[in-house]
Amino acid sequence: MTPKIRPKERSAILNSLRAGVVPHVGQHHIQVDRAQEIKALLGDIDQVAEGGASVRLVIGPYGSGKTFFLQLVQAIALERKLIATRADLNPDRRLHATGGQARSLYAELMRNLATRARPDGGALASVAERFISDSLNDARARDVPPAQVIQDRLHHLTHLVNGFDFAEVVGAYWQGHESGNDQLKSDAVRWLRGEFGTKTEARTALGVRTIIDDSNSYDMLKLLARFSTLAGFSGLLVSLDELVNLYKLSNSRARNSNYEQILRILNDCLQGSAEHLGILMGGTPEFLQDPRRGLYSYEALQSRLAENTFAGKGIVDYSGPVIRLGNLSAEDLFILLGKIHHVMVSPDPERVLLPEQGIHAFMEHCSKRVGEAYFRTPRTSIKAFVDLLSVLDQNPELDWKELIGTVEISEDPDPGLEPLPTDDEGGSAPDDGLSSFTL
Amino acid sequence: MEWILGLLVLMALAGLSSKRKAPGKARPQPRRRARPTRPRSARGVSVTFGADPEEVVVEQPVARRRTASAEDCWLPFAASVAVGSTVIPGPVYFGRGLSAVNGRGLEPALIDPDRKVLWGDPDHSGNLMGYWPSYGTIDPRCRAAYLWWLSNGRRYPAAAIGYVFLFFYGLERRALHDARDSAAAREEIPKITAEVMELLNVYGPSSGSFRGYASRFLVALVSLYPDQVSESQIFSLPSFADEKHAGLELVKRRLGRAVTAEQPLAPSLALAWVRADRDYRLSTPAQRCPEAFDRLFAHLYHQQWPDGLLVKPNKTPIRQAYGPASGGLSSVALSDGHEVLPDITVLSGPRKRVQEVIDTALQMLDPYSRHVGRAGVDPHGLEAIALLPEPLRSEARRKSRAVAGLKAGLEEMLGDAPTAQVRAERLLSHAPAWQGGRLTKREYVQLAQVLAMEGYGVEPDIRFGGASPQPDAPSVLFRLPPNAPAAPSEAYAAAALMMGLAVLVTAADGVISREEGGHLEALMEDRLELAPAEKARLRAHTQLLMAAPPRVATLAKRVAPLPEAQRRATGDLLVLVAAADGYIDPSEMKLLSRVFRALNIDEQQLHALAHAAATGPVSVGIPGHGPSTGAPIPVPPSQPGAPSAGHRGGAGPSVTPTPVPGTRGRSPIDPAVLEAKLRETAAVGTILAGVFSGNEPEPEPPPVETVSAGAEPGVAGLDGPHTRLFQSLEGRTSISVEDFAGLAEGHGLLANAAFDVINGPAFDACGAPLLEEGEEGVYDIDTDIYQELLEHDT
Repeated sequence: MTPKIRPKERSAILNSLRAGVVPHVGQHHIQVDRAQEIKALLGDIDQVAEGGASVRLVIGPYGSGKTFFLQLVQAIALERKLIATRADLNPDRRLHATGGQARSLYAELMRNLATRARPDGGALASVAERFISDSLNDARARDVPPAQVIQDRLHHLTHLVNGFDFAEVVGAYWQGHESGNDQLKSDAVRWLRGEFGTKTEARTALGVRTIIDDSNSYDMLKLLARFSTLAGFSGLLVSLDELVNLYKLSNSRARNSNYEQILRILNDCLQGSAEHLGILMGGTPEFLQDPRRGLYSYEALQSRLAENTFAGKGIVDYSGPVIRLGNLSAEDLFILLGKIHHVMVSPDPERVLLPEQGIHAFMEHCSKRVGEAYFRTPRTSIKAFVDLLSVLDQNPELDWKELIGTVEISEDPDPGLEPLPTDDEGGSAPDDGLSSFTL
Repeated sequence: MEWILGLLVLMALAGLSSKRKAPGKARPQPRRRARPTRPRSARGVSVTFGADPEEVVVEQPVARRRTASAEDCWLPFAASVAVGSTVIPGPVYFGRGLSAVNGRGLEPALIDPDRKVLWGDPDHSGNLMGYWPSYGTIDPRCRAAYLWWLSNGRRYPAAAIGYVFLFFYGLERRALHDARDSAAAREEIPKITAEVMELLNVYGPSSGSFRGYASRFLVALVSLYPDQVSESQIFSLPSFADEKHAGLELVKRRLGRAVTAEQPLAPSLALAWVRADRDYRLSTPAQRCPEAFDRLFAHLYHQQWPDGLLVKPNKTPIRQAYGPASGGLSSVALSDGHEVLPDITVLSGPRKRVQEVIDTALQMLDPYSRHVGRAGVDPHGLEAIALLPEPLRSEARRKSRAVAGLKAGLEEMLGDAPTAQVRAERLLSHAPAWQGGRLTKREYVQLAQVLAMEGYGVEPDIRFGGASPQPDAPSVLFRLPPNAPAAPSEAYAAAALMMGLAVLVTAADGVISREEGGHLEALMEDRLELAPAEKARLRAHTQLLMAAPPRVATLAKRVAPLPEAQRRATGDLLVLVAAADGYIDPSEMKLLSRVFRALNIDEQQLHALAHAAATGPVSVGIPGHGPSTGAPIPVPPSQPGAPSAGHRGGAGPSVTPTPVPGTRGRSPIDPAVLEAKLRETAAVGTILAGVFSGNEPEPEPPPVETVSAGAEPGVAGLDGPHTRLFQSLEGRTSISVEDFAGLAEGHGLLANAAFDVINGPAFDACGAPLLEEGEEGVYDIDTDIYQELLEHDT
């Protein structure tokens, strides 16, 4: 039972893969294996939808598919009527900071906020409007002033940090809508996105006393998670990728305060003080394990993240906060390439661009070119494969055997198959050599 | 006239000489100093100067007047003659007028009964004796002492050596001159030989001069009368070896004979050859422990030349002559008329090779020699035996009572077990030589050596990288299989090191789990290619490590010099050991991280391995005979020295970690794994299809539905305003964002919310949106879905 592949998904998947990045949509078409992990995360999403909270550290080495996995989970969350957002941490975006980096992370998260209808992000206004729209309907049905309904419905958020001002800003958005004041609407959205730099500015524009800053950005996420349920969604899923950037912080105080923030998130989610909130964090093994600078260096986290001592040796405990992703195996890659082929030939599943032995030949070729690691860091192999398929797609008269053969006798090393630098997880790959075979 | 002139000259000389020779200074050593004052003879006149300046005796020429033959005067062995009341036993020349062989006056050894003897005042000290004495010319007091010495058995140890020489002159003449013509004299040769040997024994040690003459005389006898004089007989004389010249001459002959007969040289002969060399001096060990040295040399010599050293004959013949002590004899050529033997002592090549063996032996013996040279040392104690070179040990061990005591004590400790963990001081209590606190390195090594000789090993062992333990520290005694190496092989060193690290890592989480212990056992038993003795040692080493875990810094020092490939392999292995219980504890991680830094390998590797260990089954295997569950970690092309490739060639332990299941290296696809993966993927597909198809098992009530209750029924469950908005999109394929906002507002809706709401049923029913953000500022409308929604509704 293969779901239909929409043309838009097809092009999104293929374009992303050719660019060496993870597609934003349609990941499920090319998902291989990882049934246990996905089941575990599905459970998390259901838990969030039911009002709980969840936090997971997705740990895997470079090329193991952390980002892909996070994107897939995000897509699942959107399907399950959660709102979801994601952001990569970098030196300017941290969980905890005093120089605006935490607010910067929050702003990035808000920009990337996605709903099912807007999977590419920019859905913050939609969420606010869904809430207002519902409130208006409610007001109409009960024949009470919409402002009253909005205030009432937001009332139970006001006991949260920033809750009062949040309610004010949502109210301002409604007023802007009501009065046709687009400036007010956009100011409200700007406030929600954390784009106000000073309190004065915010006060002038919206009449609120606070702004979203480094100290309260995480609280805003908790607030937003609850707010999403008022807007008809099931909760909020936040994916934070590249946590290795925290590990890389050389200032141990800065690092530790970020780890402390992670501890706070863990505590909130595990103890139930957060609702409708799911947080995923992706990082490399050293980020977790390094006893000097990794999470393990922070005693309190060490005990919380300690893996189940009864697990191991193939028995994996998927209920702990740490989910480990292994590298792809050759078999995984084989299936994955088959799936990409399937995406390529859609909507006609019977069409064959490259038969099974062609995939074998291609993998053989990769292993010759990049060595045996080709399936463990599959980005470049996949990219080359998509390029190959695309050449075959556009030139049906070409024989794949000749094409692969041509590649093999080429004297120039194929730059498209060379591994990317490890710190460039989402980076762009150099132009691939295969495209030059277009006839 | 001429002879008057000569006489005058000689008289002048006599005055000069008598001034120089004060009687008190006369010495019995005849040779060196005597030369200038050697009696001169000119034209048949023999003038001899007595020791007394007052008494210058000028004799009438007698040399030409042969009044007696040698046979007349010879008093053979066992015969005797009475001079007054004194009985003089043979062999001596006794009589009158026997001239010297070389014609220079009378025979010096001839006892002339006419000569005056001052019996009342014998000069036992020999002070009045001159050089080259002659019985006829010495002082009467000396004659008295000489005759006394003769009559008293010729062995009086304190006798002046001059008298011995005087007697010796006679033997020389008899053997070198008379025996050529006289059969009777020749028959006496063995007796003369025996007499000289006895004299040599008595007077050789005190007089180098006599030792030299007598030794050379013996050699001359051997050369001239090989049938009557046994070479080995005189060769075995203890004082003989010290007399290099004589020794060399004898050795030359023996060598020559061996070479001519194409016989290999016996070790004793080879040794004698080098020993007799004037320019070579055997160093202290050979002198301090001659017996041990000879045995050791013989052993090494046989090792080097199992059949003995074979030297080809050369062309240089042996030229030997004997210069007699007696003034009445000329030099005697020894080779004339006898066999011509090659003189291989002129060859430096073979001698050098022998000398090398000797040097080796000396070097080997040196520690023992130094040890026994110290005062109050038992040459049969444990310490001495430990220092003996290996070839000499077995016999020394058999004889030593200390060894027997030690052995009994160790057996008691071990019982039936292969190993016994004891406190160091208890072990030492059985080795009395080394008691008293912590042993020095040297002492401890000696102890370990002695133990090894008896078939026991001890850990820690300094030779294998341990340290001398404190008295209360643990040590492990074990049975050492035979032929155990005395130094660690590269494999063992690496294995021990790895074991140290492994124990360290294993113990990091406070306990050594059964899996971890098993892992260590398995590693030792099968994975590391060690000899049985090394295995036994490693087992003991591990036991010790577990009893007293090592420190990182100690091990790090030893790790540093390893090649990178081996360090990497070590690191990989350690991760697997730590993960053997299925889980790497943070404290283990901490330690591993320190170890990796000590190993100077990328910590990235540690994290990758630790991660892999946490995600999949772990096994440790060797390509070819490792467990079947794993396969080698594929080597990235950028790291040619990575574990599975690099370390196999070296002597290091071959351990290849295989942490990732399914990473099958060269063979790209494993059908069984592929099958399983396909099943899993299909399961994932089912799960995901459930999520993404829109036909969810648990439908959520659309949020707008409740609100629109009571309103007119809308399309696809949308409420009134949204239905109208929906309807207004009919037939369009796209709409600009502004237009859509305008439409929404026209229906009293918020545009962004309306976009979301209107897409809801599309997702639920078709799994895809109706409106989608297309190019900048435009929403695409999926007409298929539009139709589907309309139909779905009806």
